[in-house]
Amino acid sequence: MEAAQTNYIGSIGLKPSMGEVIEMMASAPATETTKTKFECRDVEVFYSDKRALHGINMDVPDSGVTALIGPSGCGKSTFLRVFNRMNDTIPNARVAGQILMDGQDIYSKDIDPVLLRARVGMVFQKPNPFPKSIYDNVAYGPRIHGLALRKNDLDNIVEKSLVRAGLWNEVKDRLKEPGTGLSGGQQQRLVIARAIAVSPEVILMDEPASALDPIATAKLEELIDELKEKYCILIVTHSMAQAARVSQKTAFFHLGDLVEYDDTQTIFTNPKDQRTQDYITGRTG
Amino acid sequence: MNEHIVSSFDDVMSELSSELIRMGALVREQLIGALKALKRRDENLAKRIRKNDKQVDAINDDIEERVMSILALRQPLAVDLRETIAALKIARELERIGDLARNTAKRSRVIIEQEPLEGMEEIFKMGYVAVKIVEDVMQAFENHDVEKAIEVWNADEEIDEYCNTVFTQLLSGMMIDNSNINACSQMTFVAKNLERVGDHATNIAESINYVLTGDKIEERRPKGDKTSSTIVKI
Repeated sequence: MEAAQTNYIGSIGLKPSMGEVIEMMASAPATETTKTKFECRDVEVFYSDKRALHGINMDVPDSGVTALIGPSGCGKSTFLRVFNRMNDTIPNARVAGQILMDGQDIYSKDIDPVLLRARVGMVFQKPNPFPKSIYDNVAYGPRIHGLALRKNDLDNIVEKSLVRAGLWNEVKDRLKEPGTGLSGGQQQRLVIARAIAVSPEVILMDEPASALDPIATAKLEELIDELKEKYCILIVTHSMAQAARVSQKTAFFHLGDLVEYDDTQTIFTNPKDQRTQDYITGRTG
Repeated sequence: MNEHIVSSFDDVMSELSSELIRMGALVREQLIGALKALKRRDENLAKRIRKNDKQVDAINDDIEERVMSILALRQPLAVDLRETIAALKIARELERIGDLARNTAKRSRVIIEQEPLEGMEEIFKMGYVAVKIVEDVMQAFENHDVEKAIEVWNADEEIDEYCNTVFTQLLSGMMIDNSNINACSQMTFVAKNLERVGDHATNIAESINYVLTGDKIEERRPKGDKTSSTIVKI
């Protein structure tokens, strides 16, 4: 903080006002914290009798991007859906163990899954805008959760969310047009704007770029990079390169087990487990 | 190690490694040739060694190209990434050893023109150790042998010690008879060349260790070369 103030004074030759100091503090880069958003203890998921996850223990940091990687059927998407109780919607799915979000068990009876999903937003593989206008797509969440009292407030939320999702400049003159008319990449950013509009703390992404071209993927990755300062992001991806580019932590899943969880750089340069090594280098295990 | 699912990836990695082994063998021959030319006072051989260095450079260029292509087309990760980057570094070290062999062959021209020096056994012993160290380190590379790489890493001290002895001998030789100065001063460069060969081999050993273990050698390498502060008094 001191350094930021000194630079500021140095650059304009004036002492900043208290208001400016507060603004600088607000926009100062997040200091490195190891605060934990989720604590997962012995998490198991069953589909009928089949155990899809075998007792996962893992802490997810409260900011930054955590990537979940592994071959198809390894349990990574199942694990992702644990965090906003999306598995509740699957018949015969059952979750055991404990998932604490800021120390609170998200599977306890006091937790309303609908409210939880406002705190823990989700973006899917295929963009799924509602068959409504761009504006209404983003305004949908704030409306049903009663987050905006006046039209003006709602306009602000819509604009802010679209700006944050990096879409505002492309759609500001056609907010009344249907969201489904946008390109794939734009639709995916619209869905992210819709998730952001209800001020979530966490964003879950299940292969968000797999249906996008390289330019749209790059824009999405740039967006993830910006969002990671403010949100806890968990991303499932099949692209090693994408996991390496966007995440700070990476977890490798294999046959329902969490095999290795470490800093992304370590996973991709010097993984400890042979199974991780074989998977990320494309070897037969 | 398990094979890649895409078998052509295995092919390009194994070709890269073969090229390095070929380069190592050529560099070793160059070094032996340069020392032989010096010992036998054979200017023709020295000339051939100087000329052959182009071959070493050509393999180095080829390896650089292969590495670029692997990075661009295969996006290697983990052990593949370490191997690819190490190949680039090892080729560079071998290329430098090749240059030192060429430089030795260059200096031998002046040495051959002068009266033969006496008591030069030590420098050839030193040369033998340098050749051995290059041989050993490339064997460690070929056999994925960490222990051997660490052995090489430690063995460099022996060359440094030889270098100190040879340097002192050469300074004394110049002081005793100044007609030796032309040959002796060239010979000090030869000794320094051989000492540098040891350093490059050590760097290769470090790269091999990194490829195989993923870790860097933490301790500082013992530095035994004291020639920079050596003074001989009559």
